[in-house]
Amino acid sequence: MNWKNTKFIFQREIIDQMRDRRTLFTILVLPLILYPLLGSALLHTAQFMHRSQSIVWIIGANKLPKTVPLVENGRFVSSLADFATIENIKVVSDSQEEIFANELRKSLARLEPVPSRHEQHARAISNSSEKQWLQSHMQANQVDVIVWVADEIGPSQTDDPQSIDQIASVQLIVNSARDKSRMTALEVQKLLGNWRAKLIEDNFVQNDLPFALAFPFAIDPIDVVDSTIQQAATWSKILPLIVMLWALTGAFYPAIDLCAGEKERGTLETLLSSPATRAEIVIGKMMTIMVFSVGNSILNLFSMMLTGFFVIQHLGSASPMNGLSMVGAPPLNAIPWIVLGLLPVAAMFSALALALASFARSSKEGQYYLIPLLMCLLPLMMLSSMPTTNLELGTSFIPVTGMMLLLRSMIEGNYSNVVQYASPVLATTLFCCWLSIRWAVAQFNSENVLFRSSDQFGFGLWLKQVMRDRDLKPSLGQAILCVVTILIIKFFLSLAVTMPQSWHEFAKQIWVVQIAAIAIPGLLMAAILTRCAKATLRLNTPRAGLIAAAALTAILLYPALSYLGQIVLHLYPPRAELQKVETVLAALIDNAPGILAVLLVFSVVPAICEELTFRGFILSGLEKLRGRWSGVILTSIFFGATHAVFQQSVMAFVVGLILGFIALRTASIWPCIAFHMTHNGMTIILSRMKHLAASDSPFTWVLRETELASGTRIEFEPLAACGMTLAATVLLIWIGKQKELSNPTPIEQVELQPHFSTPIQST
Amino acid sequence: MIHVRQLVKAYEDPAAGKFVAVDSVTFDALPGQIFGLLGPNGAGKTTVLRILSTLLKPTSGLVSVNGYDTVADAEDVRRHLGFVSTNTAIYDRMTGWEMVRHFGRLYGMPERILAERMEELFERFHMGRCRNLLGGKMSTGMKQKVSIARAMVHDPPVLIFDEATSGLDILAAREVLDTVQMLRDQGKCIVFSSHIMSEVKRICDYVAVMHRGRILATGTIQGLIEQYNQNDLEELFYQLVSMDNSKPVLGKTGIA
Repeated sequence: MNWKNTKFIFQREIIDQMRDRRTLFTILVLPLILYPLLGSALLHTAQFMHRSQSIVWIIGANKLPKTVPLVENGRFVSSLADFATIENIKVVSDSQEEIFANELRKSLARLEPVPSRHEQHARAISNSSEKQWLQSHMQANQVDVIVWVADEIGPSQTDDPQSIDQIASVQLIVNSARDKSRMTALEVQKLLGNWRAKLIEDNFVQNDLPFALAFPFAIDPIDVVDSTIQQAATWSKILPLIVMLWALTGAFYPAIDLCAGEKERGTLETLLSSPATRAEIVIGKMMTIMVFSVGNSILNLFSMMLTGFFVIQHLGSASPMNGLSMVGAPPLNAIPWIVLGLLPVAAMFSALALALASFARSSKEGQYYLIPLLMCLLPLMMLSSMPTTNLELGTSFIPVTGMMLLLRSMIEGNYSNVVQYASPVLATTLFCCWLSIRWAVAQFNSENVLFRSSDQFGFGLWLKQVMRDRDLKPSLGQAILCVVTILIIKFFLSLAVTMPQSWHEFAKQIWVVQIAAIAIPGLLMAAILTRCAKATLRLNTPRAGLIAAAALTAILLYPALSYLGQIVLHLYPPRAELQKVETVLAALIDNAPGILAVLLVFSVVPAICEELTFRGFILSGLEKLRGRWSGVILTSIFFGATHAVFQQSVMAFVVGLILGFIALRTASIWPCIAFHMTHNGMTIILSRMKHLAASDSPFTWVLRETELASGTRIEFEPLAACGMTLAATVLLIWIGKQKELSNPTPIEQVELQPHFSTPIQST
Repeated sequence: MIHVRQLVKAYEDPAAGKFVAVDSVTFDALPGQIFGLLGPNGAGKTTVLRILSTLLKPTSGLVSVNGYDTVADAEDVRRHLGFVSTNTAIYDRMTGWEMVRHFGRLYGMPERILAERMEELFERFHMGRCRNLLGGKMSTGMKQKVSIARAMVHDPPVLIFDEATSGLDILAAREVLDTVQMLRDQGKCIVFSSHIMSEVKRICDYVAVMHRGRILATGTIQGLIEQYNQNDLEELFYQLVSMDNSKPVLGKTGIA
């Protein structure tokens, strides 16, 4: 790595970009003028934001009590709401103006008002023609809300015990399709509520009763947060998001220009023919992109804060934008932290953008390639601004999100949190940054990427190619495609599946998931994408005894695995609702017609389906990884990932490791199926056959019953469990040794010879 | 000097599986000599020259430039080589002077020597007008001059010209050819690819006729004309290519 070359390339790219008017405008000028323009637009629209006056009709105003007034000079009484609301609502009552059409009165009178305690909802007017009539009249008279006082309001004067329960009804007639009507109705409703409280108070005073009888207590919210901290909290969500978003978008244009643009203009080949190595070129270009990414972000931040500062100051006093007073002035002391956190993330964005843009042959293509990057990174950014996401160990390992949460904590002044999680966040960010750079360098080292010819793409042609080039066993990509397919099918099935009501339904669901989501993708892909489905799925018969050995291993290993399962449950206790679901499902299983049915559904079917797909197709593909064992580990991770419940996933991962080992060593799927089937079967048998652990059972030296809060559980005697695990280990070692004895798969050695002349030096 | 032995370059092709762009190409180019690579469009000339300049890696075969292997010592190869191709454009937003200086720096030349060398080059090629003109505003001929100056700023022993005169007018093309001849006279090893017979006839000491990824014939122009009993180079070329066209196709060819 010659840093001098990197420096030269960096310098040249910077000068080159600075001479490009379009880049200069979008990256440097636009941020500076965008926010003042937006601010001025905001100020201009703010003056139009005064709502036009609402009109409320009160019908039956004469029935309102005189003691506590509701309306005064064509407005509601000022003490019932804030000034702006009162001023905004014009009240027309029939006692003042005779503008109500007789039909309206008649129409309303026809609706028999039923005394109701639920005045929150406008009375259901069942007759739709009446509704239509009302709607058109409200529209014609520009009335937003009609308050219909149907009954005399006031304390009932009669001593009739029947009427003691009856209360008068006030109806709000609203056209909820119109926003203004709906908003006015809400205001009027609140206003009427306040008025009713005053009325109650007056009634109590009149009758010499303590007011506390009606209102035993008042609710007074007190915010312990000081307004500056509240403002910091608002900014802490906005600033990291703005900074990261602009850093990403700022990286786009230069990345396209520096890569696809150079290809397009034909200068890339000139550069590549110079002594500078690909890594030097990539780092130089990446640094350039980073300068623009960071510059764009900081300029946007600066410009936004400057404009925001003045706009908020200006609007803070004005009434219509009350919400903004919560925002306050942006915290200036946060800026250095933001810039510091931005740097590694911007480096990652730049490397990613460069790597992706290197696929493109023209600037136009470059845009297509970068949209997916935006799609992938946006959710990560949004995640951090969700109120439920907090900086903790789990989230600190999420790239981008972790850094944004760290910045958020920093702006909020939550320094203890910052210190605690700074190292995982930084480690994750730097690791991702390093990976991105590696990828970008790899892209620049790839001839297919840099010198891509424009071959046309046709679906038929592609299919032909896939069929022609298919290997004996699936490729890495095909294995991963299989996992993705399984996950997607499982996702949609999980949406379609409801809580089963009977054993049959439950069994059917398991069959459907196993066959449709797991077996079919694996088998279909093995049949279509590989030339030898038999070798892919490891269908060859193993040496005698291996199947039995695998089944025996499963029995012997069961105590150790069940202990492990309990440790997992202890470390990660399942959520309460999950436990509830499990109890329901357990009850369904108890209703099964017989143990054979349960074994078929939970042991035989999953063992066959999952083994064929995971240890068959997927492991055959992932085996091609650098180390075969990393293929086993990856297969197990995927196997765990397809289990919905986390605790199950952990166990599936562990079992997956053992199954992968057996699959590679025996080169056959049957021992895996035997192990899997036996393992699942043990769980069922032990939970169903509690009598095995009873004192008179011959198994007392192995099994014992433990009393738990939720019932009894069968456990293994520790000594017996240790012995069994030891025996299982010996068996596994024996199975492992079989590799040399079992017939080597000659099929793997058959490779197609290239049809051109024999290579002298293979590269 | 350049040694190419059994060079093969194959690509994955969606239509035909493996597609062999360069098939068992063997040749040598010596110092003080212009080696002409003659072939129709899509013969595989550019692919061979891209491999020589380490932009592409060979599928198999050995290529050494000035004693360095193009795969193992790619950087050393690039340091001792100047590459001018139709695909090696110059930067639009840099002046001629900046362009040449940038590459001089990448070749690791000390600033003082670089400045002297550039003055000399700009004077020799009458590039005064290019000096402070942005690449985007130059004529094709000026651009090609800058390209050549860029390729020879570090005074490499090996120079590769891939269709260096394409798109140039007669005057500019003539200037390029004169430059190539001058470099030969300085003792450089030069590979010159073209499909223009008159150019090849004028400057090349030694030619290889390429078609469909293979070299059909190599030798001096005179020697080849006599060997194949033809009147001139153009007839010879036509004869060789049409003879080859009548043979069955081994691998699908046709890459620029």
